[in-house]
Amino acid sequence: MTLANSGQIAVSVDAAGRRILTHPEAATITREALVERARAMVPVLRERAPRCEAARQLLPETVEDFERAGFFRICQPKRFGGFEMGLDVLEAVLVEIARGCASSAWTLGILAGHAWWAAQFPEAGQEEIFGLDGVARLPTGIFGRGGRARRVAGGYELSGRWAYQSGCDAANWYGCGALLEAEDGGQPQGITFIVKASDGYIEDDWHVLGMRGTGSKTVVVEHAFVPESRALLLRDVEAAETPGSKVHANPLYSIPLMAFISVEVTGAAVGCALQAAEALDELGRTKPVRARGGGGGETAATHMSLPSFRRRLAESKTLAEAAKTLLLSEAERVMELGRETKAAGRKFTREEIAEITLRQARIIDLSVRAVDEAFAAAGTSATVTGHPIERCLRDVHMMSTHRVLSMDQAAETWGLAHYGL
Amino acid sequence: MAGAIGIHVSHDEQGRRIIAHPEADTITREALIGRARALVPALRQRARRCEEAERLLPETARDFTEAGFFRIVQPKRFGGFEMGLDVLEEVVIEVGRGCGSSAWTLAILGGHSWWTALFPEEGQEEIFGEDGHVIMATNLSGNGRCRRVPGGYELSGRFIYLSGCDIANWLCVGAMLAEAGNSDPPWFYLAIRPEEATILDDWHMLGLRGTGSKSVLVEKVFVPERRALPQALVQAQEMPGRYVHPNPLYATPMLAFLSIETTGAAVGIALQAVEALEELALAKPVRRREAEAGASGFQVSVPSFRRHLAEAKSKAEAARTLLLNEARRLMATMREYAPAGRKMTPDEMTEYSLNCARLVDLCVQAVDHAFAAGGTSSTFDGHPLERCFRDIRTLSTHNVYRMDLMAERWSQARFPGAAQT
Repeated sequence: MTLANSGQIAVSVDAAGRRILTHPEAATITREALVERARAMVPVLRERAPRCEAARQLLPETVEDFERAGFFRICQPKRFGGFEMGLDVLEAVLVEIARGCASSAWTLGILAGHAWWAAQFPEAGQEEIFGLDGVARLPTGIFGRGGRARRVAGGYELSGRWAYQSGCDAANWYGCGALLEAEDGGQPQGITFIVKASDGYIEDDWHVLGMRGTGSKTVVVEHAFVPESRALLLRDVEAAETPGSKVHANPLYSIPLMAFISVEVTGAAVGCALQAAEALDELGRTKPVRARGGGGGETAATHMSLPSFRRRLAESKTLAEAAKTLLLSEAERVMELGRETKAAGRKFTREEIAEITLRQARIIDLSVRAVDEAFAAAGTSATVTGHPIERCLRDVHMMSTHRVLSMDQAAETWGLAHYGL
Repeated sequence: MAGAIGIHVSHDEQGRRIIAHPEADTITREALIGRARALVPALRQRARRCEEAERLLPETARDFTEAGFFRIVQPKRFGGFEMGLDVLEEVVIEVGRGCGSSAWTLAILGGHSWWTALFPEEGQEEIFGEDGHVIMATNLSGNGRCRRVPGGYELSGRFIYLSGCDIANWLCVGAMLAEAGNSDPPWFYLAIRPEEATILDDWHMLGLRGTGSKSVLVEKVFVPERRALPQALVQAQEMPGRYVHPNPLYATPMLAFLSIETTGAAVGIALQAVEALEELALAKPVRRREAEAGASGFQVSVPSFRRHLAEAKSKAEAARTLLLNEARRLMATMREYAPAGRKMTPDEMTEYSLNCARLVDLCVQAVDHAFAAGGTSSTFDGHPLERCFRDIRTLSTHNVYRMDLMAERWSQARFPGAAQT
């Protein structure tokens, strides 16, 4: 795939002889500028949303827009052509993107977030993955256990299938979790890889209720060789002792995986809720109220004249906005906790991680409720295929089924951690 | 079709034509429910095709005809079974366990043989015809226009949401009389032949896709007086049909009847979702993290799954009990009121709507619980939980089931004049 920005990356070598990729905006880019770029895309994303759903993948023109805006590089190390900004910036961008198209936002969250994941790998692996242009777009089945791996000379041989690989059509790498066969006949252990996209293929099996445009299809890898430098033991991931956390000084790369990925895509749900509230707001001005009694014809009044409509709009809007405030506040808190723990030389506790996930599940739940309120107020005409409220309903409920973000799972994990069970 | 089921036509002492269904004197509620239950596996198997066809499948229409389902609330004199609305609902619930769209369409079409029985006697004789096989699709909200011509009316208009119109042999729509200088013109329900209208292929929706609730276009069609039912008489509970048929069923106010009519589809969908979830309990394996938390084997071992299943099941079953109670209460009220010539008050009528909106809300909650427990694997196209989610949500947008509207309508009836906004 050709990339708008690939020619603009400056490649140099530092005093230690390490290759440095520098994005031209790396020193000047701001959170405000990125959020503004995202906001400016909303109209075109809305216009493309039905096509994105029908294509069941992030549209190539949207990939290009995101690349040009630098969105994939938000959490990517500066050394490898990224902006090295926090999760709070990524989420602020996702919220805006999802006001236009939740599928595009989710996919951006996954692909941009996983540039952070690639930065957890051994240095030699990162050099290969980020290449000469710093383009590393990878969906992942990190814990997938969808694969089996065995040791071979210089690395591993991997085979497996990983479902739900959001953004795989736009990817140049795949993240794949596997069980590593023990050489001594003991228990297999968890291991996770980054594999060249050309070493696998996609099965077109994403025919689902919502978030259709994420193209979260199944990726298959058969007998691929993966070098040692693109492998991580899950044991090290779970202990937050990844090689990458020692490659990059920024505390961003010391945040534990579960904390990071719990927050990573939530902006898509929050933006989806805001989108529904905005669509409902508009409907209040445009949808006529039917006359009561004889005739049943239309009156000049629109839905804004109905107290129950205004109540639903107020509910929807405040729920969505509360979700946004909570998400941005929580993303900043996670970044702060990352700085604090790194400075103190300690790890996030199990309960701290579980609490981050729990709060994200709560934010998703608020987003679902915001959309439900909008749907309840909008009537049957908003259930016509292609109506934004119909799409938001499918999208937000679909997101709420994600295991990491479901309240059932998050509540239980937190409860067990809280009581040390 | 009728010949095949052995309709017997005779004339009574007054020379009136009597159409007798061979089962009219022997059919029981239990037999009808048994037939509906026996259709469930076929309906489940056909459900996806029914959605794709965006209409009631011809083979399902044939099954319903053979089972006598369209005749449940039809007058015996015109080839029906003349049973209560509660029997229709029990049948619709069972059908809804198989396919929500087919259940909705059956409720509409089965219920409208009752509606036909409210027309002037001559009109009924024409509509029920030689064999009493009446499949009437309707839009009763009065969006059309008509003008007086010798012997009847000339009707024009565009009408939305005519569930089952593809298989209908009659259509009925509401139209206002265009009269100069009348600010409150009378309006009429007019029955026409489908050949006199154009069906527009515009039913592309979130859910209940198989109901084929398309629009029809009517241009300057002559409707004889006998096929006109004045809305004022319906409003006053003085429908001509109540003096044609002695059964109190035909004195039932339209609003109360129609509120209940389609509600069985919602209950059936909720029960279907519960059954689908119950099947997952012993079929869907739990994943590693849940297993670590003490769960083992299948979803049934996860506490939150069991909780969702219990919530969904008890809500769906409560909705069923409440619906049958409402339907029986309505029938009992009419047995008391009709012989005494007593009319229902507006707040008595709107209470049925309010109660039905409440129990549809319970059905939505039941499906939401099932959906939450079903996880992402239940959101793939063709999974019953995915379809139930779309169906119940779409159903809940029907004006009769919107709590916002029904709470308001009931309040204004309960406190006439005092509850103005």
